[in-house]
Amino acid sequence: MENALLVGLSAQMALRRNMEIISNNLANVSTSGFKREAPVFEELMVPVDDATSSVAEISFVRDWGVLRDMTEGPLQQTGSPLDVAVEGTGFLIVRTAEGERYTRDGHLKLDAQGRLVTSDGNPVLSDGGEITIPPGIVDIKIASDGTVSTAQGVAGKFRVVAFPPASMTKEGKNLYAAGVAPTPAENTRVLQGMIERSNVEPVIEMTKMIEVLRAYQHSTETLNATDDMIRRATQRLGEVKV
Amino acid sequence: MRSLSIASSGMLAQQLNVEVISNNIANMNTTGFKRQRAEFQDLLYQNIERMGVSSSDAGTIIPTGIQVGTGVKTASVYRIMQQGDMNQTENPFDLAIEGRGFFRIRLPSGDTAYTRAGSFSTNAEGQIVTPDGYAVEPGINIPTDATKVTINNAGQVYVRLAGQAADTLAGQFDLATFANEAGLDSQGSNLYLETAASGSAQTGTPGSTGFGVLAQGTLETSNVNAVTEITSLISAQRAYEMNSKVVSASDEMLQMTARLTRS
Repeated sequence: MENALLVGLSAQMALRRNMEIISNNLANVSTSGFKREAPVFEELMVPVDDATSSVAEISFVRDWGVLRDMTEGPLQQTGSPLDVAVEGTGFLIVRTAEGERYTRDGHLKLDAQGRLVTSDGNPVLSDGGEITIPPGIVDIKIASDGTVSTAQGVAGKFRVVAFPPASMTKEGKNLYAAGVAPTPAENTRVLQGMIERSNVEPVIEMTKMIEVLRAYQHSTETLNATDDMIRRATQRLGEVKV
Repeated sequence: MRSLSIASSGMLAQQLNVEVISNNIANMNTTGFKRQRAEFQDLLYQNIERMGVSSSDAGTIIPTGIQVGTGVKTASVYRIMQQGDMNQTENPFDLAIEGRGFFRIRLPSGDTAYTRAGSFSTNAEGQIVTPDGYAVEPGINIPTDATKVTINNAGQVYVRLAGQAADTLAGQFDLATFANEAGLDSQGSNLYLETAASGSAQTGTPGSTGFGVLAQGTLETSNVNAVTEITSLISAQRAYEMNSKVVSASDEMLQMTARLTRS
């Protein structure tokens, strides 16, 4: 009998995890370059060690992984010359204190030394290291192959790299870490004056949220019903006169 | 329940977004105003099950793992230094900068502030000052008997004195540029201060390499685009609403859990 309670509990834990991931997607609906995630659940079959039972196995639910949807977010024109969007599967390389990290958030800036940096002040790397814009430069042009040039010539070329999606982990701050060495990205273009928006689809997330909420409600009702059964059984058995 | 705090981080971020947008809209007609934009980042991730961990004795590994995000934070509020439109005013002391650069203003404290709002006038001593009465650096004095003031592209101020046939040079405007203009510290009153992030000011005459030129009788309008701001406002408002729905849904789930313990 307690199995029903445990199965319901496993369902509720999975649904809570699902809700957390949905709410993280919705919280990041305005985060540029954000990739939405979805949990993957699996059925966990546990054999019942009871000869009198009519079922041989009980299925629990278990969260098995989180899938990241790497499809491109919509591109938005911003009019800022230092905004870049990566079209295709590539990532820009950012040098952080922890080593090289990868991002698709192209809100770049110049720091006090004229280096191209991310919002956190970490330099974006080119083939030859950091990209420095000489002082007093008015026009910065970023070509579709990632070459950054000014009136004084080429300042550097963004290194755009790709990874098998499963090797990447999110680190927060719009950065990814990768477990394998990067390979140069193919069929990738760098677009100046554009930003890749988050690929979260609010409609889908809201619908999923309602589904989760209702599924949670149903499993709560199942738990209540099971609880009722146990309580009634205890009461009736207590009334039996010996 | 983590989704409550995740959704509230989303609501906070969108609230700030709306604040930035409303400041842009409020300053739509502010001379030389540069619009701002809030930029967001995802918060740290919690690894509940790490990818790459072996899942059996046979050496199979978990391909995706479970990473749960913890919400969103504001990375920066970035100022977009795009040129504003030019508005003809015919006032001789209205100056617009076409291209890069800031006017230098001496604050009462003795510090130097920077501005792109060139709506100047003269004070009782004939000195060129901002609407707040702060003097432009280097100080330029217009003689009280001047009948005509001409400021050329290169910032040279010529005055025609009463009874004179030719113009005389009364002063020279210069401009300051920064490696990172978006790193300047906004002081209000259209003034900016130098910071460690902006780099130190490089001064030069208008029209020289890397500096903009001056246009007399013109003001630079703000670079706020009403249509863009209104559309961003609508999407920020909707995003706020969606995050608040997550809060109420999570609350409902918690309530159901609490109701389990009835009887």
